Amino acid sequence: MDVLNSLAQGFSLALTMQNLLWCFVGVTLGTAVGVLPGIGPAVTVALLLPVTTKIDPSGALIMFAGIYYGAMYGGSTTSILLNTPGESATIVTAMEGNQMAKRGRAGAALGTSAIGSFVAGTLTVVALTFVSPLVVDIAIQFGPPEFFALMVLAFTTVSAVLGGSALRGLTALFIGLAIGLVGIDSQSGTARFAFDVPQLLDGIEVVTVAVGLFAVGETLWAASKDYKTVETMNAMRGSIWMTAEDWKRSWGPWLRGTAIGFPFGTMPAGGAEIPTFLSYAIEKKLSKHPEEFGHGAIEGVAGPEAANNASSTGTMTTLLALGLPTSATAAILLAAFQQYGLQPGPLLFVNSADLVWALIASMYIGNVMLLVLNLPLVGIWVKLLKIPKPMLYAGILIFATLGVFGMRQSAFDIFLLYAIGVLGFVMRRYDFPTAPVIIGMILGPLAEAQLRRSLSISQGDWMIFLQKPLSASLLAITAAMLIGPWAWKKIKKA
Amino acid sequence: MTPTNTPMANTATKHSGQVVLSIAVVLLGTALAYGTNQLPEASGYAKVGPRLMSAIVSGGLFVLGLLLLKEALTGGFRGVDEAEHTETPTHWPAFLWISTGLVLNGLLIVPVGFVIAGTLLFVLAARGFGSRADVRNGIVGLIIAGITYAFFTYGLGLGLPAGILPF
Repeated sequence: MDVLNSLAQGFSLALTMQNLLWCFVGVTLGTAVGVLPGIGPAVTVALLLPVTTKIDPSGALIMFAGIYYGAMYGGSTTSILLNTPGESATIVTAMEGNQMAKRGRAGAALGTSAIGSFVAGTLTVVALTFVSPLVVDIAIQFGPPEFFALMVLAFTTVSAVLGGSALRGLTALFIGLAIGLVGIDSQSGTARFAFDVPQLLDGIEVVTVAVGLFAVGETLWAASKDYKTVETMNAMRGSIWMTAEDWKRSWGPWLRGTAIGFPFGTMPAGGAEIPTFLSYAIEKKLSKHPEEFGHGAIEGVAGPEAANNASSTGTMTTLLALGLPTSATAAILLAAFQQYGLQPGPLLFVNSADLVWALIASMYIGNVMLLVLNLPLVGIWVKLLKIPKPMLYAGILIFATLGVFGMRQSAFDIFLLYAIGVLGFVMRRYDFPTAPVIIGMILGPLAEAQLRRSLSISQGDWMIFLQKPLSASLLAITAAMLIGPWAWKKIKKA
Repeated sequence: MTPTNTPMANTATKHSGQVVLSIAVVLLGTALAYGTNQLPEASGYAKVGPRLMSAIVSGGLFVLGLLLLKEALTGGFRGVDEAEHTETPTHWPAFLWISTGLVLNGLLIVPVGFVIAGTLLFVLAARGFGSRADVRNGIVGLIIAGITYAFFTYGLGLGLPAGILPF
């Protein structure tokens, strides 16, 4: 079979000493930043973008992907042991897992989430292996209008549909699009909004924006707003080796969580929150012990953790096969590809097949490494949670300046980093989501290119987007999502 | 939201931050529109050039800013709980310590070097989080900045500024 041949080829590349090492570094770093509050996979990959000038594409991308799915494993440790979720997708785990830990079952909770993540991670990589070539076969026939419509749909779902307010989400997206405009336009060579500042002519670096919004903004917030929160840590009690009863109650939720998480991840409806909540609700319905939910039911940890991990692989599928990032981390991974002059999407499977399949193969290997890192070695990661806050955030800032300065050796970027950090603080204060900024900034220039290409084909006629059936339907879905909720409210009032 | 007829002026002062922010978005849209106007006209028969996207973005920000302003003036941004923020007021000294650390880092990283600028940032940021053990923090910061510097400069060949240090 074609796919299996490609995969075997991928394994032969991924199993070289060097790539195994990068994979290990990636998943280890990923687990660490998943565990640590204040720093996540998006910032970590962004901070490491400067190394793309020094190491080869396969090694770097294997490491970056490892950070992404590794962080999904690490995040659950924090949620279970601390009373705060490590990231938004682990809110459910934080509720249920924390309850288990309070009742002396921290070990079983950590066990079921690590094994659940492994089951979900491995099954979904298999799904990715077979689904992405099919998607590529379809997407390879897409022209500029189809891609543009797909990107508009992705913009809308990540900013307007998810989150508290469509208005604030869209504002965040447009700020990102505006940042993406700065610099020399690649098609015409015209400088836009650069004010003759040489650093701005080259555009604003993704590292600076991502690290500013997430790391610096978060640090400013934690120091000046969040000072009252006292974190209590649950003791690591109970064996991490689950009992027969635990296994019996976990495997169903693992499989169902995987089945829910993967499709949600692949759709440009981004975010792992929805599938985790969905999985929780389903497990509660199906459970023979619904009364335990909210007081530490193992199903409530097993299902959502599997869903969380499955959705991250789903996101990778869409990124690789369509070139469409549906989360902030995926957008930064896209930027990492661009550092090497590569563009994820159907053509990548044709032009850089070796690289893509090595990356996919490395995900099988990475999940095995993560199981070992997170199950017998979980004690090491728990120690990370004991780093005092001042040290943790001060250390994050040193790494922030390292990544930002390292990108193009310019002190100007440090000031820009601070300014964007303040922007991140203000956005957090008024409850604007920040992920749309990153997605807008990275996907914006690509969408612009497709838009201009489409209009060149049609000689300036906008009807081209409606004449193609696929782009017309994608745009119709987008319009329905934007106008639908508003129209619904009007109808209900009338 | 209060059920009784709150006077407009009262609401505006209650959400003054939101009003300022909304106006800032409108102004950003206006400024981008002005900048778009300075860009050269598109050439060729397709009439698509660098102007199109900036026109879309500036128009979008302008309209979104107006919609935000409308929310801010009529009961505040939907779903934002202002009471929550008055309960825990911003601790500005912490904000200032970290800001000082970052601005000084930008000024010092090239002339003085990554290691010293980073150590200083570490000490100032730790202060922002209420840690006053400057000497201990200085040593920890120096170790972190030093190891990072050594690893990235000698290990990966990424050029970080040595500054006044000889290595």
